[in-house]
Amino acid sequence: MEQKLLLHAEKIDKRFGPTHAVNEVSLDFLEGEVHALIGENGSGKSTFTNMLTGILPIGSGTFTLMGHDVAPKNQVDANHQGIAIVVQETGTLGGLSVADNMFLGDEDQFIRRGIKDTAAMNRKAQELLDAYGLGYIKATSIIDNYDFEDRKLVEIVKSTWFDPAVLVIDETTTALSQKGRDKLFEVMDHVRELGHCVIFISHDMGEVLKMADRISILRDGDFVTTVNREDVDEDQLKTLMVGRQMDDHYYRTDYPDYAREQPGETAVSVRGVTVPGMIDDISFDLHRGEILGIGGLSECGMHEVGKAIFGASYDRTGEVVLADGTKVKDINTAIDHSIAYASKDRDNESLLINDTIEDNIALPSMRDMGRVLSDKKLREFSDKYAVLMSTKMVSVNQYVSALSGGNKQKVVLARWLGKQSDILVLDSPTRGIDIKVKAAIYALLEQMRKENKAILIISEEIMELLGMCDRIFVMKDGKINGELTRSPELSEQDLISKMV
Amino acid sequence: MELIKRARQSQWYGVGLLLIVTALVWLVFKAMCPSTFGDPDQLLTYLQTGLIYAVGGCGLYFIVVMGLWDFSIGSVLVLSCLMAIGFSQSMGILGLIVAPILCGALLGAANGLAYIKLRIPSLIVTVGLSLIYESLSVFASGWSGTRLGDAYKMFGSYPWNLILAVLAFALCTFILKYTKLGTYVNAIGANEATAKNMGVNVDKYKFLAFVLCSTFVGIMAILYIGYGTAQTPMTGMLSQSLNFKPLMGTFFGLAFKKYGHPVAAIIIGEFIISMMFAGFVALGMPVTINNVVTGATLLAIICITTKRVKGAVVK
Amino acid sequence: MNISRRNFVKYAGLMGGAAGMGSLVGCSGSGSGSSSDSSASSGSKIKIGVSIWSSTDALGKLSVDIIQKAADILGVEVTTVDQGHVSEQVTASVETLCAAGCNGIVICNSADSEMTSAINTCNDNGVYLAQFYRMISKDASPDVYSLAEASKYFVGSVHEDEVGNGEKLIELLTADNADAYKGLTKGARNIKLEAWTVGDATFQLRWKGYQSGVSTWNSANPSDPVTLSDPVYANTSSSEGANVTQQFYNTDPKMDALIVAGGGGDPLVGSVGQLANMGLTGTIRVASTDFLDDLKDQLQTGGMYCESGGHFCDPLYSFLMVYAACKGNSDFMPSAGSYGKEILFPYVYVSSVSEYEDYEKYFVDEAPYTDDEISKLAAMSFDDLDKSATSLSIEDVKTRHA
Repeated sequence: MEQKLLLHAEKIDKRFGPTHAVNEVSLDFLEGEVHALIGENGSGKSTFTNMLTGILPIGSGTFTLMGHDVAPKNQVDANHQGIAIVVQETGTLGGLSVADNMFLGDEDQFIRRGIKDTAAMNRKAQELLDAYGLGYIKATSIIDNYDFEDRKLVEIVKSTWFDPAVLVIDETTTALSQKGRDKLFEVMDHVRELGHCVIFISHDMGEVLKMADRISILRDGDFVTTVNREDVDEDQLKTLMVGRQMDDHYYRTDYPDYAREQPGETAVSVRGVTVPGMIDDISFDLHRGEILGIGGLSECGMHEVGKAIFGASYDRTGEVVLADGTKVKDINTAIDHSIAYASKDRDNESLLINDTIEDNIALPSMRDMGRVLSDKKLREFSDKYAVLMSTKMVSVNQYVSALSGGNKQKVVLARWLGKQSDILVLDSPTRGIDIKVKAAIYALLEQMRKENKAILIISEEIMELLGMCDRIFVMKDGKINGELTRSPELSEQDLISKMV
Repeated sequence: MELIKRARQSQWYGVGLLLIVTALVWLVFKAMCPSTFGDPDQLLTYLQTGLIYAVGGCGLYFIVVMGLWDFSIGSVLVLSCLMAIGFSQSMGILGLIVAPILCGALLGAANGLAYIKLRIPSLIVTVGLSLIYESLSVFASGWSGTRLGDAYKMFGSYPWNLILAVLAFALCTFILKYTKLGTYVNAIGANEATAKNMGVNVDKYKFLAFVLCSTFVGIMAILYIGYGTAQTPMTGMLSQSLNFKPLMGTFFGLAFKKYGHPVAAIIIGEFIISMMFAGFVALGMPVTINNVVTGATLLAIICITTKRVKGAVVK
Repeated sequence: MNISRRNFVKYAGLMGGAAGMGSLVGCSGSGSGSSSDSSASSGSKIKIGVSIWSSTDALGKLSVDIIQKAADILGVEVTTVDQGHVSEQVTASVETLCAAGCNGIVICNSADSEMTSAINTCNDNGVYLAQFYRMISKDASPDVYSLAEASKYFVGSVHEDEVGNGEKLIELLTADNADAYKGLTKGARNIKLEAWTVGDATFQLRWKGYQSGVSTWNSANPSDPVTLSDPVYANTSSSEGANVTQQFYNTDPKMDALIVAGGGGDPLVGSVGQLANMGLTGTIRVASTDFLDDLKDQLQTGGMYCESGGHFCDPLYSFLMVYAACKGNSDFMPSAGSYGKEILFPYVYVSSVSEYEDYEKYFVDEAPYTDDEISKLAAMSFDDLDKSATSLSIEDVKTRHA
């Protein structure tokens, strides 16, 4: 049976100053489909959906939903018009109850003569949570009592309980565990079954191919094409996204013979490192000329290992010792001894968002530049490494907040390149980044490995670990549960079996 | 351990904790001065001043929970007191009650409007405006005089002070729990950008919070002038010294917000501070010791109740 | 607004340079303008600045009013700065007044140390300076005292004998008085002390006086001793005054006297009001300094027992000394090596309704000095001026205005 048109986007356009983020994109979304929207970072997909869901005002063009033009002023207005979104970052507010969060901006349904019927609101919220199988979340509890994943599940309930005609899922899955993703997919299926539409934005091609009925590709703000799921595979999608054939040299292609080769000199020794509640008695060595990977489920504690090595773990016991015997206990010692760190929480822990590219790149190197800083020297320094990383920017005076995710990560890496760091601890280095930039980062890491640097990658992406690492530690429940060595035979299954 | 864990999950945990602290403070002073401290009728006197500042603390809560500041409340208090004095002379009890509340509301509206239009930090706006309010109070005192008539001192003692204060507390609780404003001030304080995204008119609710804050200060003025009976205008930023007692109560409210009963926390917090002052008078301790211990107690209580994460960003 | 580091440095440098140039020009301008002397040459109006803690509280307002009255009579321009007795602001007030072109300044400072900067500033600007309600202590602040002696612009001080004031109040409180309000005839033995701001110079002197008075009594009456509590501070708020009084009584219901040492009037109002609320009016003797507006009623009802005050003409004499110096009257022009002129100004003590009625008639309803009298004072020699000041009393005014 032919599906009917549900939502039509006609020449949707948006500019941010000189940046043409969305260029007259026209798209159709059908009833009863999961429609994936993919593209590199900076391709315009989030901007497109943000305009649909009221987060951004529409530049020009129209959205027509079920025959009526829609232009929501904010998310609640969008909800009232049958459009909802689940965002990637935190969408709930601390200090408020679960029920308050669920109905934030929409309390009028519980208000009589200016008085809010809190009891009725709590009751309705609990009913909804129970209906979604989330009865363990209490509507009257303050949302702070729940972890990120549960809060995200509350958001999912908030955005879907009224059966929106269009549900946008914007890169939400990266932040969820398998359990959370399963719940989300369940909701997406439900929306589809109701004859409504899910617009699914994800960088995970596996998920896209699993869930989507049709896939539209955007590139640099332009619409490329829409394909049916059964007509494409992952490589074809990647090609469509970047506009060129992705060759085999995406990941590493070498497989060292570990029986024959000795590992390089030990750069960092981690001995019995414990952070209460997070990691327990972690010990390993990181060698020069090696890419060591740590993988696991998102709450296995691996992210804390990276912080511990960088001296950014405040409750840590155990030791992190460098080759010269220095014990790393704080960040300054780490930086002074050539350790670099890129956090998973890029925007809050790796970048000075409201500051220039110049300051972001030069900051840890400023200590080596004398008491009085030369403006010219700083600019040249930052420029050199920004260009080295092919950062897409107007100039180093541009604020980092204006950059796409991939370019932000390039700024982070440029910083440590500039510092000439020998030991790199990179937590989720390619998270939320398009494949073109990913490929560039992988190439850089491979180059650095050949330059005898010691690299630790902490990642939730199994393919990344398999593709890039010489050794992989798999963590589970805060402990190392297995060590795997790079080989052509190593498979996803080998890692997953140690993770779960 | 299990009991404590379950108790922590109760919504009355915060109030319970504060009551335990209150009892402990009482015990300590009672042990040191058994005959001169802490009898039931004396406790009522401690409560008397605590109530005054708690009303102000409730008003300030709307502002501070959003991450803003209002450093004009001292000058608003002075001017509202003078309005109470002046209008009580011409309009009797009606003037005594309505004038300071209206004065507070109008000055709060001025604060809110200035903040929203000027788009500069609330601390700067309210300090600047407080200089203007201080000058207005000089003019006002020329008309009103500085002494409240004897016939209008009823709100300075029981039962009328308690009645008015309880009404104010009930109003504050009602607003926080049963109106959109109450939800939205918390939401804006948690994440203004997200709240805006949810359709919350941030400017409108910030404005209303300023109005509410100074309105409560107007109510506080009725209690304050009823108790003290005189108010000389204060210039040269001297009124800033009046900001801090209500603010201390607000801090208690903020620290215990997560337990869901900030108004109760404000009241109990001010009572503890008032009781400590009386205890030090009973002990004959110099004011310096009083201030050190009171400050340390305040810090201790806030530290115990605030989740402090090592390495977290604290501003 | 985004501004690059380079531009920031450029603009900051420009602004800093401009500010520096401006201040150099300004300093040299004011310096040269008044380097010769500050006496007003014929034809130009004398300008005298007033640096006071508050021009709006009870005593402050009276002080400024009497100065303004004299200024109007003598054709002098007056500028007032409120400094709240905050040290930094006291210092700044002198600089502000000098920069405003004052020929002379009268100041009620908070601590002696502030006078170092005040005297130096006046020396640099050639501005005459005198204190009111204050005197630099030779014992406590010898360096400041020496500086005052060496200055050619420090005219002198008009101040009260605060220690004597304290002693006198204790004397009044402890003595039996058959003519007093019926509940207050017996002398007090258990006195509570309510102060205002910690460290205030005036309070420190009064406190010395209270302690001295108590000591004198106890030496003479060892079997009938008087106790004086340590001070509890009520700042300048009526509410805090009420609270302090309430707590005093709560902790010691046997108290039979309360001294409210000062604080601009509001703490006393609060304290008296609180005693009334507690039904204790007429059972506890209350003493203070600085007359209340309704002192008569309070004396009648037993709300107050005695007060010292009426010294609001102190600033008038300080003003007249500076005026005379500005006019070039050699009797007042300071010379290096001597402290300058000192006037010990008397308090008026009131402890009965009839005494207050007299005070009210001659000091409140009518001014203690007529316009003519003020004009004459302005032309007096220092000895005559001093005599006039120290003899001020209800009797004196009665005689002059009979």
